[in-house]
Amino acid sequence: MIVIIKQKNKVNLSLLNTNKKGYFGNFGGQFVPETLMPALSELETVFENAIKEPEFQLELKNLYQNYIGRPTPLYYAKRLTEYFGKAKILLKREDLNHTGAHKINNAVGQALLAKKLGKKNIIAETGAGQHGVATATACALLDLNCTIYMGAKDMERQKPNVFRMKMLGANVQEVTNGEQTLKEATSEAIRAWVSRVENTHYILGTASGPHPYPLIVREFQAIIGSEAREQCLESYNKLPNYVLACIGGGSNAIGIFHAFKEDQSVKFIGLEAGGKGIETTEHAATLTKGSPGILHGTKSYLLQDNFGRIKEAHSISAGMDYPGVGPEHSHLKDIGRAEYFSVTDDEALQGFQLLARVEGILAALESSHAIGYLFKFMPQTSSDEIIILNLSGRGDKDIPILSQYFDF
Amino acid sequence: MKKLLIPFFTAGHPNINSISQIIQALDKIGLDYIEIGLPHSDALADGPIIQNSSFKALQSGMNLEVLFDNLKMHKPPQSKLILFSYYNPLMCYGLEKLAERWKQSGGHSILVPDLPFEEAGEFKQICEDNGLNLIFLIAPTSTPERIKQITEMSSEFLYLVSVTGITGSQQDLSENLGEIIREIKLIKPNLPVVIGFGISNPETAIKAIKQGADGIVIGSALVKLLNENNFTKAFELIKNIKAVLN
Repeated sequence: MIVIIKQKNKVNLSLLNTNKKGYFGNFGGQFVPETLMPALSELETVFENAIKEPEFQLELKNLYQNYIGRPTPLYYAKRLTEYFGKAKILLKREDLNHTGAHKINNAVGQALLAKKLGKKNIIAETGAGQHGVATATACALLDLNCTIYMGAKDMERQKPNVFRMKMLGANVQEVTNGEQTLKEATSEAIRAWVSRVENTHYILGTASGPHPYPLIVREFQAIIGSEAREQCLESYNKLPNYVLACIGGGSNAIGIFHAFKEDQSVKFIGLEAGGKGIETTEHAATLTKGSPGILHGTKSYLLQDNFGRIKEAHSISAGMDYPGVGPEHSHLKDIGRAEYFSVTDDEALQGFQLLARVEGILAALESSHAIGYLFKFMPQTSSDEIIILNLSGRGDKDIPILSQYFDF
Repeated sequence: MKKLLIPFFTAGHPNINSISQIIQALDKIGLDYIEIGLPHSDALADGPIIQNSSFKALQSGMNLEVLFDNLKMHKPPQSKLILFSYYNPLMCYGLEKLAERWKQSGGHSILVPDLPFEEAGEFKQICEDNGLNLIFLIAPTSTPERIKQITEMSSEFLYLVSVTGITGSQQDLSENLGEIIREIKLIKPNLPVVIGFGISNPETAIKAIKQGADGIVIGSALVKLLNENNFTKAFELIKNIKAVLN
């Protein structure tokens, strides 16, 4: 009997090992023009070596602590908790990072990789402008040339961030194709990379894109969850029951989920942009409403029509206005390890307002989706439970769009 | 050896009715292959001209079903038809069904610019089962090891990207094309190598041939003329290039 079980285990292990390179279950891969394949392979090697090097880790740790300001607090939101009168709500304060969001964790990590690759030029896409600002910041710090691709519509609704990027010395390229948002900006950044791959590194901002990007971005964002897990155990002597995060491409979500992956008692909840409602055509609820397909080099859930044409997404938050999602989230959804729900523009605005009034925190519209979900979710929780919510960014950048909704 | 001239146009551009008109006109010129581009919303390897043509074609309702219906209406051309498509529209349609329908429509080969050989195993098998060739691309950035693997997987011909860039590039041809062609020929001496992406006129076509290529693909330059509705000039360009190639 024992022998049989042992053999069974062996078979299972070998099945795991034969998983195709760069895949999370059925999702991931490398669907890019041949021109980029050698660069992806070089990036993979440099990345794998770098994260094993103590000097690289030391340099990264130093930047995380002394430049970004990590660790960020795991803040007990007492008044928010009292407002709902249910589970204890802890906010992981990524909004307190230098540049105002989690994006900087990945940007400095990848800028260090660019140095190792010997590439002086950086390109990146941005939606809300947070990744653009973070990349421009890392480039200024590490003396790299920076070009950011941004949709014309996003440049309009995230004006303060466009100005910040320019002040940091970045060249901001306006993208006027299609809906002029994150999808087109990403396509244009990839095309630019195809043309300049020999001396340019592409700092992808979310845990998506072709392998090894989902792994790289997860690696540099996983600090969020590692800190949160430790902080929670230290202060409350137990693990949280739930971890909540908003999800566009999914980098802040995978960043906070990853450290809890083996803790089966911890439930993961990702909140997608429901836009004007998932029953309408104007939303970005990729995991809730999408189907598997390929966008920007990776196989994952996406919003597409019957002929594989990618649909335009909609969200009040530019950072979540994207018809795709990172491949690991598609896998986590399919195996049931994480659950994903959608939160409408209006619910996000209510979340924004609530947090501002009871905690004095202006959350980014992206993070406000996670807050907005609390109205539905909190009644299902009990007062002996703990929720960690990733407050991925701050809302200063959203003032132009918020001023259209709040009339003072 | 006779040089191959492969014109590329976007299906459904400048309008859906032009598909058979363009195929017939090109076929009359006497070409070995005609490459038909299926428009896609997120064409990562294409420059502004083909992107623009794709956008217009999609707006007028172009898709695989429309293409197959259109091809069905006419007698198949003498030229072999190559379908150029990004992977998502093919996957979404169903790879098996796509291969069957393309074969039934008189199709000969398929080229997928965002499907590197590492990801191509399943689709290559499906193509072969249906008597179709899957054409692979090699780029100026491809390493010797990749060149070897791609060449070994290739039949019919190999598509060598002329520049480190996207289609319609105005850059000079990459300097190492000749070297790459020699590497390919060492492995498969009889496998034709055609150069494309930055070939726009008889001069660049000759440059490519001088590097040792067995043929060229001409896309953006043709699409640009078709976009201006200048069909006469478009087909003249192909005739002129054909004349200098032979």
